[in-house]
Amino acid sequence: MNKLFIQILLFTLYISQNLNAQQEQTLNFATDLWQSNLTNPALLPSGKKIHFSLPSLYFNANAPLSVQDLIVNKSGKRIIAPFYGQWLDKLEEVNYYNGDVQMLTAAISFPISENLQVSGHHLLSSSQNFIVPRDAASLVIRGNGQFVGTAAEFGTHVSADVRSEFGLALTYHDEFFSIGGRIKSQNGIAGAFSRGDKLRLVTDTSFYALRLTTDYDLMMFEPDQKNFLSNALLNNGGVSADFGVKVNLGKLKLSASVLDAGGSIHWKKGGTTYTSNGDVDFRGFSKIDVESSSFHRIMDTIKTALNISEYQGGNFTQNLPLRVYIGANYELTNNFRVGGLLYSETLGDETKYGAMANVTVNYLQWLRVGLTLGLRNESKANLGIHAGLILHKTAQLFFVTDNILVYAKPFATNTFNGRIGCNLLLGKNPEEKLTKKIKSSKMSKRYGTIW
Amino acid sequence: MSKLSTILFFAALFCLVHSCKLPYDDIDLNVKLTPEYAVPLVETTLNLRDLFDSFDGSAYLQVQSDGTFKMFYKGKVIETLPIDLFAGMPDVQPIPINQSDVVLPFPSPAGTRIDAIDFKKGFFKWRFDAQATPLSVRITLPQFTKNGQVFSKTFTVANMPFRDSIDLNGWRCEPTLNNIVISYQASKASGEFVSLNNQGTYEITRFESKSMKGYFGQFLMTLPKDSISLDFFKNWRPNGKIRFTEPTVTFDFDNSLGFPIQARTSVAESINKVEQKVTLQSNLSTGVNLLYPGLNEMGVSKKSSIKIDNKNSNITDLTASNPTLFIHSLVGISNLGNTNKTAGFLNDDSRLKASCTLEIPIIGTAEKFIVYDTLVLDLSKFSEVAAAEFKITTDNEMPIDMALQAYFVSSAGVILDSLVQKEPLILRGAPTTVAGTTIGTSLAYNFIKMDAAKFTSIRSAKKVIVKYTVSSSNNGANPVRINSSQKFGVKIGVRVGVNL
Repeated sequence: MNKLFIQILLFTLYISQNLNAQQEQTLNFATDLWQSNLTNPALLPSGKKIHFSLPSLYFNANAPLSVQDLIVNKSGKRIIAPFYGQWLDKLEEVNYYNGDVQMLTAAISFPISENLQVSGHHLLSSSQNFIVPRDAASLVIRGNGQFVGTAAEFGTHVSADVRSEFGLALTYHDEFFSIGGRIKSQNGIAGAFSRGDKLRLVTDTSFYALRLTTDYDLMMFEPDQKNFLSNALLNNGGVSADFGVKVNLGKLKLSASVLDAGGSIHWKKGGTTYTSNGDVDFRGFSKIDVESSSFHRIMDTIKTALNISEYQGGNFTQNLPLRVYIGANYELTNNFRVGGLLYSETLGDETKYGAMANVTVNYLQWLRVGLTLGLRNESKANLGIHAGLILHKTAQLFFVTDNILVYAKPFATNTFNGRIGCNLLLGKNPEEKLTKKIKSSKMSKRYGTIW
Repeated sequence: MSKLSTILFFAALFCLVHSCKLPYDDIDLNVKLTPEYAVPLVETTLNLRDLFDSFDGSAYLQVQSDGTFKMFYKGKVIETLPIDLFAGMPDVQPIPINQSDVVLPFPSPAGTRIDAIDFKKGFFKWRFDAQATPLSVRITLPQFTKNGQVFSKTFTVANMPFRDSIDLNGWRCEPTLNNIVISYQASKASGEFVSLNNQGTYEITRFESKSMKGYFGQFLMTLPKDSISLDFFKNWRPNGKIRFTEPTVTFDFDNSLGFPIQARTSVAESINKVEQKVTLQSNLSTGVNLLYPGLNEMGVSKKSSIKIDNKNSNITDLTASNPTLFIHSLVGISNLGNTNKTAGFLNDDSRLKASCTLEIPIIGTAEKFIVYDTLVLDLSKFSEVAAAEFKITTDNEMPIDMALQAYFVSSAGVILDSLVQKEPLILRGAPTTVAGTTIGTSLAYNFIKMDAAKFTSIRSAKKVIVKYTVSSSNNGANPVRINSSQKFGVKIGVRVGVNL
């Protein structure tokens, strides 16, 4: 058994995060953070003129298993034994392992006029998306003995990448509405993508003859080590766009955004393609020979039968999921507001939905805390939190997560995410002037102040 | 900071500490569930011909017109040495010339009659000791001819003693009643005849013939002993019974000797693994006359075939003894019964050749007939295997039941364990009619389990002795026929638990 493969798989279960299906939703409510602008380019935090984001980390994991699932009781001890495979019984027929690790290396936002704000950012992200049939994991851990007389479908969908993203956004805002757009340049650094996804092993009952049916391509893109920087910034490029709008209706604020519209990355450089296609039968050897029964020889023969061809090259277009946020917030008091959010994520023919309710409290001028209750696609209700702490009126520490409860028992959960980091808030507060202006306006008299 | 913020701080700290408590004691990547793989090992079809591929030497298998198999074991072609009738005869002594026409007995063995002889070697010599010289002498051998010319030579004798000779190569001699006549005539230069009686000798040196006609008497010709290794029975042990109902031994003779010959077996016996001998009793034991070429067929070979079967011999007893070797020795006796002493011929290249073929049609009965086979095996190569269950699927069109057992043996020859603990694995044969013709196939599934303890016990095995116990249908009571269309399909798969 390839231990490395299992370790990578298990590691991926917990560290990898979901780019495609479970993008953070709570962040959309944390409008005092510039990072909320990543969910809607029309959202700009109130307060200081200039927002500078120091490197911050975003992580998101969504897997059907938890660390607890790997624990085995043995001789009175609780040990993690991933290769024992008792966790296989907890898997669904088809399992989604996905996630994202994102390092926002830097971001800056500053006004270029009274109503225009420009933002720029760069981030490095690593995204993985595996669709693993239970049969695949079961085949690796328990062998094909359990599949005698049946077919094991073990074609595993792989979509994993490491990429660099530059974004440039422009936001127009006045007292009634904001509108923003962002253009993003993406460059793939490394990636692995499958195509076909058909791997089927049929083990017959008479004498366990094997039939392998394959229609599977795996493309691996590796960076050019000698020209890593140029590779990271120039090769395997793609472009996407974000659009957002926010409308102020007094105490009610409505917002909507579309992210990664038309986004795709075209992988062309550094590719190696592994292909297996066709039907292969393995019916043992034609001669009774004790030597032929060597287990290694049999396995070698089966590997040969897979007929995997390898060639340098290969192109792959990685489509980015189209995400839509539609939100509403209502200000109950100056320091207390409630809101709701609808979220969808579409990739190809598949769309996933999420919904979230939010309560946010402004506490003691320097602390803002919000609680969210989210409903995600195929997951239970999640209690999230977003908190921002301002120190010395300049440094803004923040933490955002869609599910705070998992932090109490992180080893028992199979889904968690979070964003943590620090922003610098510079310049005078342009809102003070704006507030005065709004308070004197007719709209303000009717609907109240802007949050 | 207010009380609320203090409470929130400690609540967060509690959650953080609690969350950092590890829910496990250790991480152990070596705790594994043994995966089980189900893989095919062998899919093959065997018939009797495949079994014979492993035989060596003189055996081969032939498909008969009715589809049945016949085992063939063919011995070497053996032949007599060149027959020299004159071997052992004393050298011919010089004969005094006591008259002008000397009648000389032709030097031939007793009881023979040489009607004609074509010489290949030898000399006729003469010597004169007379003092009166010079003389003109003519020697005449009226029974010696060459190209139709009678031998006659005239020469001058100038000095005494005088010696001369002729090379007999190419000359034919036709003795009369085993006698030859030699004449001389001597005269002086004046024409006066001179007697050389008692003043010289004639001599015929040791000669060899190229061809002879006549009656050569009775003598014994021994052909070299030959043996045939019977591979089919070599690996088999005499624990059970196998009886082929229609075996034959055929002796094929090729005779270019031109006189009557009766062939006999001086030795014809089989030997099995425990040195038991069975003598073949047949008409060849007492003698069988062979065909031979007539006087007008010189250079021609006549073939005779003597077939010994279950009707004229005890050959079924011989094959039933599980022989591993068949030994035979033949002799030929000349002119036995040729009371008229009819003339024949003998050339220097005339031979009596013979070969022996043992044919065993695969028709018969077998009752718990046991064969052993030894395979070299190194189970240390199977170190990753924890346990296994073999599934053996057989599709048997042959009308033989086979019970299979195997013994795992260490390098010291100690049996460590057996493949099957109790009863051996039974591979049923195809059903047959009373006449032994198959009327279907027999499909069987057998499972052999080898758990971890068993694998441990046999892991040091270096070879495996496979024991096949073979019985024909009805437990060996009915004879069966195996033909070329009958196959023994074997499919072996294994479910194996592996420690990776």
